[in-house]
Amino acid sequence: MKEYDVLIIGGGVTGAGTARDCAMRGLKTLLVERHDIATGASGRNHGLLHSGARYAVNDPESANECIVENMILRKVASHCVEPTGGLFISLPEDGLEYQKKFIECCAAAGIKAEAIDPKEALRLEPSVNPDIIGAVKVPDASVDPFRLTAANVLDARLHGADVLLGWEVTDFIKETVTVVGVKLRNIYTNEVKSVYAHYTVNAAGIWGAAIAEKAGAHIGMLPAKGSLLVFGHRVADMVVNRCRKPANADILVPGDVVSVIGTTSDKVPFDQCDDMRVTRQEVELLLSEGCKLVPSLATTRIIRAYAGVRPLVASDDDPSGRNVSRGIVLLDHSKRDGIFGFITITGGKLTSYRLMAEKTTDLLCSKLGVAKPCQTAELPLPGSEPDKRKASHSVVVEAAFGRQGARAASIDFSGKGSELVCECEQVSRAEIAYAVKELNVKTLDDLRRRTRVGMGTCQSTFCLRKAATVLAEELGTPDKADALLRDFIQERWKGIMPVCWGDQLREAEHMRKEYGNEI
Amino acid sequence: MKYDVIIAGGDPADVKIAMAALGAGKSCCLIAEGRLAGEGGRNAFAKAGGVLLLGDRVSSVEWAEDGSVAALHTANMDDERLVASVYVLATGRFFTRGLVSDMNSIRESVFGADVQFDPDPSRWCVEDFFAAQPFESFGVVVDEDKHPLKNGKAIVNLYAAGGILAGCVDNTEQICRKIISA
Repeated sequence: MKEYDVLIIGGGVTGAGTARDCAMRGLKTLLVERHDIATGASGRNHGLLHSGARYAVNDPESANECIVENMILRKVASHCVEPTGGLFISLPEDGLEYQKKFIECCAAAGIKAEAIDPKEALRLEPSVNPDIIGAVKVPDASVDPFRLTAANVLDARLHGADVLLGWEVTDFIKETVTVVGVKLRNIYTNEVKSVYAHYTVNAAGIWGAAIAEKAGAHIGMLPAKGSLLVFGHRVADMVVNRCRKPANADILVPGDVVSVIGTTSDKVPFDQCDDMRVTRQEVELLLSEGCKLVPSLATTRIIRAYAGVRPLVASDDDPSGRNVSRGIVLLDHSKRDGIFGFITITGGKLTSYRLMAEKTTDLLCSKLGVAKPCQTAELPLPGSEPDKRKASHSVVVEAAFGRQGARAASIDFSGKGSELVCECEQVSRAEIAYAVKELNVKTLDDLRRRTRVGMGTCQSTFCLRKAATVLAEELGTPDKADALLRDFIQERWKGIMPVCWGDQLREAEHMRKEYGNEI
Repeated sequence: MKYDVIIAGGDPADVKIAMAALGAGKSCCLIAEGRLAGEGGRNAFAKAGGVLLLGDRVSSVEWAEDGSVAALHTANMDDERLVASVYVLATGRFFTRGLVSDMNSIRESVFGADVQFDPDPSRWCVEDFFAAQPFESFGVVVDEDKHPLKNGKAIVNLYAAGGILAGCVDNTEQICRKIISA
């Protein structure tokens, strides 16, 4: 029986980053995920690589963490990051009072924030509200969180880590006060097994509260739902923020061919975290506030709505839960609860995932007596190595390099490989074959997270039948195409329902005509 | 121009009704933006002597004092009065823009006829994608003679046919018979 040094629970970006860091330092590592990579908050956010400016006024520590990590990820995760730049705009109703403080606080946190003339801001980003009275340029960027997570998982595996997707932790195995392993159940087959490790890391996001309870520790977590809307075009080329105290719907982020506005923030009960629904009120609020940032959102088709849950952690000395931290929380349960072999990493944000992983791995290494230093701030993720090839004339080849980075060099585009499957995102059969072979793809939803298939303007209405057929063929189960299609469209439908009016209702009617009789 | 029948089209039913009108020796004009429905049938209609305004749409309606339709104007020929004894509304549902929705309401786009829909937009769709969706049964309300209602009152020289009807009923054959005997 193989015994691991470290077992990490949670295939979000934090767990994936921790698995990579541990494996790079030579630890025998296992990553366990209940569903698929980035299915929780890691895949349900803006896709914003914060400059830290958003936090500069209220939380200087987080702001500084963000700018440092932002600059690191531009280098080591270059194929996941689009350096769009960002604007913080002031509307007449906001005044310029906050802007002054904002620029000072950015400077103090080490964030380059440059006040520019509103006219210059409109020249840089013509979509912003022309009524702006002020604008500040900051180094915000857009990041694909699925790609980032997938690259971390891939590199962990390349460094010898094992990865189990579709395995749920049902219980902990303890020897008196020490966690020595976990019991797992396969969510598809119900198979059960036990795995053992010297240390178990809880990186399960909001679900980490329940994981900790199973191990006998209590963490005061507060699920905070954030809803977002996806618009059918790249309305803006820069990240557009509102220069005021953080509030609802004050950030618009361009993500590949679409744009995302968010978020809301509402406390929700734990039992809703597995099935987040965006309400009508949230859609209305996001839309009306979003139009103040970028007026053309009012006439742009909303293609879907989704929501994630932030794992906010109440300070240990404040059982009321009012004093909530948005910073990184690393809990050594041996010191905190007298439970040995068990560590929780939570809080934080997408932008700071690498630092969270580094802190966790540092703690593990000190416990295991491993001296090897962290290298994740220097060594590029697979795909982000320098791309020295000549640009190709093929759109699908360039799209694959854009998504998979330098790793796309191993993709065989010959013959049927260059066949176009998803037109919005330019995904080819060859890239799908690569994702099946290298990136643990079982379903169309898994494939979407690795290749953006079905994430573009048509939301899979035009390519779905073809994508299902090609994936089924590449998986070696051509008879499963219909089942793949049905599961995927049902999942997409959940995000379409809250925004089903106007042009999106036209699309929905068309989608029903195309696929409604597939059952 | 004066016709026996003018059809505001878009729905696949439009050409069936148009051909039935021609077959009964009536003059017929079909206005259609040209999406979705089979062009083959429409070409046959034009060859058979029908007037096909393809790529055009009704831009405004002239109303008679009794609430019936007096004339239509189209986007491409706004100054032309198109007059008929009988008009047919066969513009289809949402995809062909026969019905137009915003966040909270749905209207019929040509005549402003009364539309039956759920006032609670959260009930326009159901969770199961593969089940019939409530929005697919929204549409114009007609009296027993298939005349659409406007503000509760029948538009007596207008018939509604195809997908635009509330309740997913296919009445194309019935409308064809009414046109033939009109």
